Amino acid sequence: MERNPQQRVWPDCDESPETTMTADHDDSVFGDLADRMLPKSDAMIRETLEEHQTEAQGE
Amino acid sequence: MMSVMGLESELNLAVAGPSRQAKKPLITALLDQVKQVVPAVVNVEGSPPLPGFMTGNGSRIYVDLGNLIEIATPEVVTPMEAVISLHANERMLLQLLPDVARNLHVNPANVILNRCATSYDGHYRGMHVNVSTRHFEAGALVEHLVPFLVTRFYACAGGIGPQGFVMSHKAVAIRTIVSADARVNRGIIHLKDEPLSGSGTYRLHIAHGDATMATLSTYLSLGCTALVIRMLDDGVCVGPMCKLADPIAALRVLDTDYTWSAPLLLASGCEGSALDIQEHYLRAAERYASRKGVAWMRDVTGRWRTAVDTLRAQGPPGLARDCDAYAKRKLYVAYLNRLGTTLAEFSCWCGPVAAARPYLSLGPCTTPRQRLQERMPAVRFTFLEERMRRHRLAWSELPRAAALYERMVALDLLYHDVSELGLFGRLCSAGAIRSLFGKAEVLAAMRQPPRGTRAEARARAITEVANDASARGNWLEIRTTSRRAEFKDPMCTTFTWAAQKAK
Repeated sequence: MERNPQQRVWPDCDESPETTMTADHDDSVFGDLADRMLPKSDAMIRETLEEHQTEAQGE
Repeated sequence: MMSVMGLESELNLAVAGPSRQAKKPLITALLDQVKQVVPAVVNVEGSPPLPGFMTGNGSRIYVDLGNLIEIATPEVVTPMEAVISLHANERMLLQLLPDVARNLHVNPANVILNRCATSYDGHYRGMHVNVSTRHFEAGALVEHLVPFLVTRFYACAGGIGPQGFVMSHKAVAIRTIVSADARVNRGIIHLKDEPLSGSGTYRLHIAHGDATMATLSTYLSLGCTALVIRMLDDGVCVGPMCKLADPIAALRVLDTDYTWSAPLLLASGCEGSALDIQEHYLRAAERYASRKGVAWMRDVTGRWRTAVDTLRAQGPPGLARDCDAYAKRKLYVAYLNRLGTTLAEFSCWCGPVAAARPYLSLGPCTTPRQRLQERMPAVRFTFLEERMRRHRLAWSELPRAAALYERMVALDLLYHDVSELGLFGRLCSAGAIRSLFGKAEVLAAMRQPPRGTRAEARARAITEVANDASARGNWLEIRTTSRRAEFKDPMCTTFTWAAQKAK
């Protein structure tokens, strides 16, 4: 599966317009962005975890 | 007395989908392109040398073990310069990435540059603080530094662990108080002995700490640490009266103490909270900064004071726009609420899920209890069963909880994408997380070294010889086949070329 080149998100993620925070919807920005950027399917979540795996300890 | 400081940060290039095999060539090609943005010479450091470059903006960028891209900022005199330089180097890599990816037939959208101390696969990475001292090496300051390093709430990135939401990615990986090893037997104090200068100075290498995204977190992580070390090096005695009875146990307690108010047992037999310990160091730092009248020290103590007072008065929500652990906690709370659950409920599931995950098929599963009983060692299953019973959790819900656990881990990893299109970048764009500096400062630091240290001189030398194919360099020297210049004094901003003897 390939990510959307413009948004850098998985195809099943929402691509709603950018959000700007105001004092009264401060909390919703966090929820909105998490909801929008996380893949909807468990398979794509697992792919996200796999792509971040590393071969060895750093430092 | 002047000293220098800096940051080292390891980045993981995460490649999605069918192009995953291209990770190594991508990293090599990406670093090769650094010269397109800034003059650079091949870095010869370490044995054998790791592939990379010394750059005309004063930094070192190279491929570290495990195919991680390491950015070491220039030697600087103020913490803000180091944080800006880190962002500048990351921006440079992000700027180069699309063309490099396309040349290797990789969709640039599938490549993520990630600054995170964990990959949730048992491997850890670092964001290290370096501070030079005149009088003390790390081993001599253990008693003075450990209470401070353990209680730096502003330096925590926040994450997911068997306890649920945890303050730190790396706390769980710390095994001992003092260690010379940064990879397996990690300590709060790292005894690395590599001054990277001529005689007369030491370099304290603080490997304990998370890779933070919020600029205030990174700034305070470096700034407060540099200031405390500077005080100690200048003869101020701070720390021994809040020596912890068991620093490793304290790390474990603090991992789930978001308010930093839990009582910690001190070696004296008294109790004190982590916030009290920070207050102790902060008061000493305020007096020291006031006496010295140095602008960066006053800036650090001002922001440090605000962070401590805000956490005390307002609790975790007060720091959600400035410090990663609290921003991330808010992110998790908001997301879980949308799913109709709470962070407390999710946290109850994390222990059982962490224990069961290796044995649990995440596909449709009607009898998870039976399946786990068959697959898990008896001792582990008994432990799991006890946790399930204690929290009154339903076995049938375990696969769904495991899927949610993975979702929350993915959310954490996406937060640490350094691109403006990543989760953290979008939170900043939306105004939900504040930044200490703007794009202009970052763009300037991409090409220019900071002033006032040898980085300025070394950068000039690099610029002069960057087109010479024989040019090589490290922190201490730049040379070609015909000439060489040394940079042994970290504070010396001038240099002279000496003829290189023919071999």
